Amino acid sequence: MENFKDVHVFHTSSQGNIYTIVELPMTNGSTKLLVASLKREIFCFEFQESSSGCLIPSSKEVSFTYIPNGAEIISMDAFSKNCSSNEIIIGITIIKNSSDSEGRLDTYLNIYSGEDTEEFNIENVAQSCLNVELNFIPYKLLHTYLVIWDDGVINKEVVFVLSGSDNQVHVYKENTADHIYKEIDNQECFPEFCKTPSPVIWIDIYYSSDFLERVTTFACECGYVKLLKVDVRNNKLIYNFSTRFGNYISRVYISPENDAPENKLIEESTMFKEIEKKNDESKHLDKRLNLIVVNTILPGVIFHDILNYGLSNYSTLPRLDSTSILTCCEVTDIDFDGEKEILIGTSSEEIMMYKRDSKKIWWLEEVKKVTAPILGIKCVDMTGDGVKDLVIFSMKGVQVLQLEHDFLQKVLNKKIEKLTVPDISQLKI
Amino acid sequence: MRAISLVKRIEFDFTGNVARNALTLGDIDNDGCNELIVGNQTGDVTIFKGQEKIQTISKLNFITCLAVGDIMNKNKNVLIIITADGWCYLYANPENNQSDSSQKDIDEGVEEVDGQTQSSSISGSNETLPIDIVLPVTSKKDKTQLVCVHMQRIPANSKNIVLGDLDGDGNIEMVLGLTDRVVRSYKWIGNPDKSAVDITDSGLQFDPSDKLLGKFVAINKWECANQIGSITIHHAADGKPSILIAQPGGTFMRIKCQTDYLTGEECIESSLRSSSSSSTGENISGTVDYQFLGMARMRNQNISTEILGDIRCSMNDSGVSFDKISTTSQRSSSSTTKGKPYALATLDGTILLVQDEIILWSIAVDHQIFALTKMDVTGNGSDDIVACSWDGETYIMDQEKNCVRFHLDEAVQAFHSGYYNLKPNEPDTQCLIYVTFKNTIIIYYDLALKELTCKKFEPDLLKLSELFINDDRTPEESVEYVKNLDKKSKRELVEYLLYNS
Repeated sequence: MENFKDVHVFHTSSQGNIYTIVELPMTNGSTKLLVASLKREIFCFEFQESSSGCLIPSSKEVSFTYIPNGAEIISMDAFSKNCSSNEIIIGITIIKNSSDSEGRLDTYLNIYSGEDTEEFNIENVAQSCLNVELNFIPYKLLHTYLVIWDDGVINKEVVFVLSGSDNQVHVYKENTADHIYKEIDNQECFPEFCKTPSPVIWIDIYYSSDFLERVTTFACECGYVKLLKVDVRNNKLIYNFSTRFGNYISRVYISPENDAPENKLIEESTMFKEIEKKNDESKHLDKRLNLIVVNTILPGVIFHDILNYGLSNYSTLPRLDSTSILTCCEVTDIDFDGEKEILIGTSSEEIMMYKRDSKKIWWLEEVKKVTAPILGIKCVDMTGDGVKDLVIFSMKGVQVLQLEHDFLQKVLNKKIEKLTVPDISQLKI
Repeated sequence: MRAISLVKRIEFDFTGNVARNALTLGDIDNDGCNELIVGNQTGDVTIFKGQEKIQTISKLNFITCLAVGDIMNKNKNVLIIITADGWCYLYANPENNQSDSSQKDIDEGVEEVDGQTQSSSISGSNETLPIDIVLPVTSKKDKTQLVCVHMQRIPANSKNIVLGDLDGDGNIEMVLGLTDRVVRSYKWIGNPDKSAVDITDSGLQFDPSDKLLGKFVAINKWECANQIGSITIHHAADGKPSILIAQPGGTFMRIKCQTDYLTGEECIESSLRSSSSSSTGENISGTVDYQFLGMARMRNQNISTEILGDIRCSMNDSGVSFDKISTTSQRSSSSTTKGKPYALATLDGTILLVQDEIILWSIAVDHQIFALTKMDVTGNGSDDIVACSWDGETYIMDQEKNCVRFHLDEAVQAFHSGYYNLKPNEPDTQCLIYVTFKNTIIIYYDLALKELTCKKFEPDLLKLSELFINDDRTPEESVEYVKNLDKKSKRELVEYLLYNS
């Protein structure tokens, strides 16, 4: 990670939590970050480019409507309605002391949506709010596809998924006719979400590329982790595994062994077809999924190839010390060797990077120190240059790190050589 | 403005209030590595070397100024301590005196053939030293303690100190700024009879106040119209030094020093004369002028100002960088004859870079800047300006107005930036040094700032074009093809190559 250098540190006035950073993908390939802090402030962080090509960091406080005084933000989520438009939907869950004297807590899910405009304007989005009153304390908010197969015709719609203090997982779907969001019955569409022993902390959902299967995993406060596979066409469970760690789980993460390039891209562009021809040998895709479970107190665990082995083939990720709390994780290829690395952030101001050696054993490769306890790590392309930047969300703010350009050019040269220089062993005389 | 976070730091405990100028970096033991010297209100001066505290000099009075330099002109750094009640102390390292001065004397014999009067005294000391005691630098692990070699009464209430060669004789003079708007300059005059005295001689007992080695002789006194912010020495385009004295409201007084060579005796004479009659004093003092830098922003005339001279420009691209700044082509063509820039900062948060009395740029920040230092942070050969505010906001600026900030989450009472040695046998590293109000000194090291600006990654197009050379496309056409790729395709191509191939 020594090739990463600071681009900017965005300060927040108060700390957030593990749910309060969300990325807003823009159509130009860059990303904006929406970060909420404890004191009800929501910031939008982004990079703009000056005329001389320098990156100018910009931090803007966005005043979302219908977040009353005294309310606290619990979780946020956002998604783009379709990937070619800037039409972004943002969901924010809030908790507020009720105005009546009983000391009741009011909780809401606020859903903000803007119109599709050329220039994304967060202020506009923040002004149009749909309100859903909740009767539980919200936890993790995420979005996923609700897929309905109708005689072989796929029908996809994005829904909000919210876990709550009532030990249940709720699904909210937009009713376009009435322009409201309504809770839908789990049993019909998401049979995997049943009653759990304690509130669900984190949920991760993975659809197979043909949308015929869905792998869902979730982890609870008590350490209960469940992994399920669902046949999307008839909503039947294919398998169901669960285990118990006995500690607070902070994160579950389903990570495919290899990321397929977006098929659409290669089909559309002649440019990519040309490269694809040269790159034919590496294209038998490994359809293996790994599940990483980040336990706050115990070492992290990686379950290998969960489609075939379920939760039975696992290894642990060794810890550096026993006093910190592991809060978050990100799985991505940060050194461009074709293998993904696991990054785990801790409360003791460090990121642990795990790497797999040739014998497929995970080792703690590197530890990077930062200045504050970490709440979240993301690898997203902030600047829109095609390279993923490292975003560290800590108690003090958001730190964005960029890879050094000399290093990137070297990697790129190597990759180009691999594609253009013919392999001697393959040549036939 | 870009902000960075710094992780690598060390902390020292240091009790007491530290005056603005009672903090310095310098090589006091002449081993080639910089030490950190800090003095407090209660009269303790502590020297830090590497990760530890190596010496504390106590029982002085309120320390207002500290400086390290070759003030005795013996090619050997000494520590100058000025207290508020008007004592000037010189501390030197006795052991290294032997080895290093003899080493350097030999060097000097080769380099400075033009022959200076002072070299006679040094060659005198050279004879008394056995040459074979030259110690290798690495063997000096044992902690050497500085001893007081001189103390002298000077007018009280000094608040600024600057060392530099003002009269062009190759010797270093001391300039002090006082709280009563007076600036005084002093010259060290070695005792011609006792110049060969070796203070390391343990048998030799002497009182530092005996002025056995020599003494400071006052040369000049100037009175300013207003309170002194800070003092700096600046060299004009012709190489002539001048003293710049910051005055409230972003103005400054400039004293152009006369650089005619004066021998030691003449100097004493002239200093004697200057004390008696003012007309002859002008010989040395040169001309005084006030500069009111014309500024667009209305300035508070009472706001205190910091000034910093002699900001080094990179020799290679100075012409280019100034081309960017100066709009008139006529100016840039004559950039070689331009003086070095100097910087001013005011407490209301204006930082200016000025060259030949023309403001190159100014920025306004909403923090109260109280310290202005320079350091080549990016390592490109030109100095960057490092300014610090009372609340810990630190700005690092290059001469093209690119700026990076760093926030220390604590209030700062004294700040310095420079090179400090953390580990023996390793080169000194860039450091930001903060004295906080919580009795600690925080040193941030390894700033790792290669550039002050950040850009998007731009792939090398020529290399990229290799991908598209095929049967229907020549290399030239391929380059053309890559050049004409729109932004989106180029980004997707880079992404694909990095993550999917």
